[in-house]
Amino acid sequence: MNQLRDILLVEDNPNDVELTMEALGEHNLANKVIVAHDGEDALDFLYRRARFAMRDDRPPAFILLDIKLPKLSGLEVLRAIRSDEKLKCIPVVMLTSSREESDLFHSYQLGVNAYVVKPVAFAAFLDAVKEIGAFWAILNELPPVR
Amino acid sequence: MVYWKTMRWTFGIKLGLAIWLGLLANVFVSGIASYRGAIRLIETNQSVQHTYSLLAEFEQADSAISAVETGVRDFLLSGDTGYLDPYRAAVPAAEQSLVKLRSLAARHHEQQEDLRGLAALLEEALALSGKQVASRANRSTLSGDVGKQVALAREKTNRIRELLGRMKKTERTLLFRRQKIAEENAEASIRVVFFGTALALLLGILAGAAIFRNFSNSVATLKRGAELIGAGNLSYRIDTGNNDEFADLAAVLNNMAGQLGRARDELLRQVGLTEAILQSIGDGVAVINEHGEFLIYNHAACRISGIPEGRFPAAISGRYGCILHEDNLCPVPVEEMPLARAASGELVDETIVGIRPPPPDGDNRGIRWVHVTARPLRDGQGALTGAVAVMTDITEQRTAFQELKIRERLLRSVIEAMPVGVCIAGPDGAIGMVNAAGTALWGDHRESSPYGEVKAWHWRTGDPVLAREWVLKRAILNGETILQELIGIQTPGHSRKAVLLSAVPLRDSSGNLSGAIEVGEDITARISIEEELNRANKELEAFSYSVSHDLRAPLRHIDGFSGLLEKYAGSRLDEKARRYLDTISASAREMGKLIDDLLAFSRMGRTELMSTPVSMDRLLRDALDELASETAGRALEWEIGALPPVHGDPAMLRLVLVNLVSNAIKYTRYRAMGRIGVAGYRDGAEAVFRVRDNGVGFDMKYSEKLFGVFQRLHSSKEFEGTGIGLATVRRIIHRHGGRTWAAGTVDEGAAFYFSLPWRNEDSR
Repeated sequence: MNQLRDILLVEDNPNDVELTMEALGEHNLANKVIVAHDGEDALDFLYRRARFAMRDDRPPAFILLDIKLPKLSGLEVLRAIRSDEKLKCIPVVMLTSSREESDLFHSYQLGVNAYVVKPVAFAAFLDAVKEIGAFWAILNELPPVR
Repeated sequence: MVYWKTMRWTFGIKLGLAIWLGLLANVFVSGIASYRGAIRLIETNQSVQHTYSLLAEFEQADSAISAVETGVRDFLLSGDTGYLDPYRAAVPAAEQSLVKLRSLAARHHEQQEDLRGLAALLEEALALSGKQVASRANRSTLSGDVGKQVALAREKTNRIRELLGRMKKTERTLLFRRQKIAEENAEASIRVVFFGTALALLLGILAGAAIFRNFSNSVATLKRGAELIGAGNLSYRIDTGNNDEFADLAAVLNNMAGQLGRARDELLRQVGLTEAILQSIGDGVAVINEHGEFLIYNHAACRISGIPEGRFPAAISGRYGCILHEDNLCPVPVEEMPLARAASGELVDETIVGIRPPPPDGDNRGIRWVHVTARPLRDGQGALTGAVAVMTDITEQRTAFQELKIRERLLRSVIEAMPVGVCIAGPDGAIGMVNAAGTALWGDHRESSPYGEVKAWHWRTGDPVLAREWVLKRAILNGETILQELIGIQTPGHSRKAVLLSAVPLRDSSGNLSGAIEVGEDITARISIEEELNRANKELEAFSYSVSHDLRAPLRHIDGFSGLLEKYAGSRLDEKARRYLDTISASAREMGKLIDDLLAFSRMGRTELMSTPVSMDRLLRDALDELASETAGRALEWEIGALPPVHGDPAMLRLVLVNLVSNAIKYTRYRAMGRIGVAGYRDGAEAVFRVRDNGVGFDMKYSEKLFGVFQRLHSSKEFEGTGIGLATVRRIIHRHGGRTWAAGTVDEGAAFYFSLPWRNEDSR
């Protein structure tokens, strides 16, 4: 079942998209990774609007969410998800460069499921993303779809 | 008995007794004499009467016996019985005489014998005549003895006659003698009465004299005593020596003297008391009579006037010292002096005058200021008899008052010069004083009403300040002390200002609210700077955020793509190319570390500082645990002492310890045995901590550089590091209000110190 669900990666920087995809690919995850390039794009996917209007209505397995995003920030996207009855159960993992206390604080206030700082060292980054993928896509049981 | 004992021999009794005694003596003597004279007279009359009756009896007897003898003789001689008739007539008379004689003889002592003899003779004669008559009648004739018989009878009669004659003679002699005695007795009585009267008169005179003497003595004693008492010797007591009316009078006088004496003693005591009070009170008291002469003045009056005790003037005058007007210091004319005014009937109330003491005493003394109250004195009829004045020396109060004024001026100047706006309000809220800064702050609107036309709002919230919320009102009405309340104000014609308002209630000596002081500080400039600073901080925060997020991303990408390059093309690269790739990765990571440290350092200056009790011992243990990976495999000798507890932010202080101990571990790396000591102690108002090592040390001339950001004394090759650790330590310690310093010697070691303010509650 889980394998059938998509993973939503919200990341504006194509380099980071590439590196993250590389890391996720290392596990040979069967999940399709959908990339949203800003906050609004992410909400479009979740609400099946704009370019995602035609997608099926299954929610993603989990969301990898950057904080600093064009248009809507990651925190705003998180707030929108948590305040929507249909979306609020979707696991959200912050994957960000920010170690700022305020970001951590607000993320957890809004009900984030995990907060991971992107390590500068590539090896460490690979490990971190691989583990996130393994945990949330394989190990973790997702909430039932209604 | 009791009567006699309690009997008082009063003068009246004595006098009466003397008069009565004289009268009684007179009457007694006269009476006795009269009585005795009367008795004698009676006795004499009786004896004369007796004598006369005796003599009559004698005559009777004589004639009776003569008749008997004659009849008998004639009968005898004649025998004729006719002659017996006279005889027979005479016999009863003779017998009657005999009976009388016998009774007389019983009472009549002088001639008792003779009377008895006469009676006997008469009886014999009668008996003889009876016998002769009988014998003659029987024989009828008479023999020869008739003659004899007649002679016998005759003889008998003669004897009787003879005895009678003698007795008559004796009786007459007796009568004469008795009359003589009676006369003498009468004369004696007269003499007795005369002498008795004379004696009574003498006694009376003597008694009178004695009483008079008693009287005059007592009167003299009384007079003398009264004179002595009158002269003031009230302890003198009069003693008349008697228990009479004069003694009563003396007792009355003595009692009067005693009462007078007690009254005088009481009066003297009162006078003494009054004098003592007068002399001991601190206020000056002076009394003058209607001529202005001083009757009374006490020590205080002398002291206040500056006149030595003995030199007080006799009367008020302008000669001694000078009484000065309070206002212009001109001498007051004598008639306008308070006492003089009071003496003329005026009530002088609480006048203040200056007194310049007379020379030479006045030379070294300034003017004394005196508070005077004076009152006229009047006699019972209301006529003025002088005046009394009470003076209080108020020089000290006046001086103190002047000093107070000077201080008040000083205080005013200080307040006036203060850079903050000061307003002082009374209990009704009316502003009594505003300084220049206050006027500048509030405009002219604080003179009359507290906040008048000033608009005000709470600076933070923008809510208007209600009338009852103004700090000055709260201080006055509630006694609140308000410290630094930030409000915004706008006075007419002025721009908006931010004001820090404080107010303190003022209380009078009994603790009642009497007003308040308000201090207002215009912090508009400061607020704008603060706001500017806040804005700058916000920008810095945004910048830091941007750095942390955007600056690290490319580094990560460099490292990431280097890694990918090696992954996908590694086998085709030679050794040199692979080393270049490694260097690219390492540089990217180092920059990442630099950025992290710099962000941490920046955050250190901005994050809010906590202040809780901190156990430095525990923080050190945590720090050592954290550094365990760095000490692994090292030969280290630890000297850890007990550290004093402090107040501060535990996370930051932990970072301080981590940085310092980490440095010590790092710089002892090349020692065979690294020695690291951590100690702490209290030094006055500070708690001082020291981390010492025997590492490479440093040159003291760079000691201040050590704490600068990115300042390093060693190459990265020798000792890795970003040069931000000690800068972070200093920033944290400074933010705690402490100090940092270091001591070291090259190749011998270094000691890093930091101190934190000591708070009393830290010493548990």
